[in-house]
Amino acid sequence: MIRKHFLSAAGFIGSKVGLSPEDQEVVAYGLEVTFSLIISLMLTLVLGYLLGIITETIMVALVWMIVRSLAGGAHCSTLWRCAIFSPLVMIFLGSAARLFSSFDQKLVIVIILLCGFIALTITSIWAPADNAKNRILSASRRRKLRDKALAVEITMIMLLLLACHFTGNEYSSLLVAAGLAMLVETLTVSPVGYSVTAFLDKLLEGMEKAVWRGGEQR
Amino acid sequence: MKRLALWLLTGLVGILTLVSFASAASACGWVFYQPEMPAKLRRE
Repeated sequence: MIRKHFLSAAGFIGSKVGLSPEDQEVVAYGLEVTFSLIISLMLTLVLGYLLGIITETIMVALVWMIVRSLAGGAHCSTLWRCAIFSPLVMIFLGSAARLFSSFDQKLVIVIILLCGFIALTITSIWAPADNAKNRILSASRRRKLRDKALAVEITMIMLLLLACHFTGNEYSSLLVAAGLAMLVETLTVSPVGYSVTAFLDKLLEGMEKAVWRGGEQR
Repeated sequence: MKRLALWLLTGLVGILTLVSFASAASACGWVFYQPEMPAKLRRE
């Protein structure tokens, strides 16, 4: 539905600059990706700021996007559901990180190790996750993405453990936030993650329909 | 003025094309939304 607006915006830009219809589609795709990213990040940062967990939320968003670009994951079916779902997940993780950060330094190390171990296991089995709108059909591309995802995750775990060792409890909420973001992002790669995301997507669809029906009755 | 607008629109097209290519090279969308990929960017 909203894609039409991006296509017409790209059509307008294309007519001024002189783009072919295929290139206009590429520009429309870029607009859609940028718009969904800005909406989700803006909502996440505003909520994070209001709840006083802005730094943890930024850390979660950063790690989330890095791991997701290589390992993939489940998706919502519309942009608006993504705009609701992404900030909620990131805020939840930021809050959990703030909660866990009050734990002892050794426990923080255990949390990071546990998150890392589960993330690496899921990545080596299921990553990169396939989705209908962006199929990864080539075996060599799949292997490259999986290897890169594993390399990035191992590097992140090492950096988090080193930071935890050298900084003590000072930045533990940020370190736990990174660990949790890596864990939950890779969970969305697994079949369970797909089922949970599909269930929540349906739930949001039901809510959307109820709101629209409510609006029509009024 | 018209030249400046054209220059800005060309820059915008460049940035959006870069975003499209980066997104197409990734395993999937960076947040919970994956738009329909245009045929030109699809690897089949």
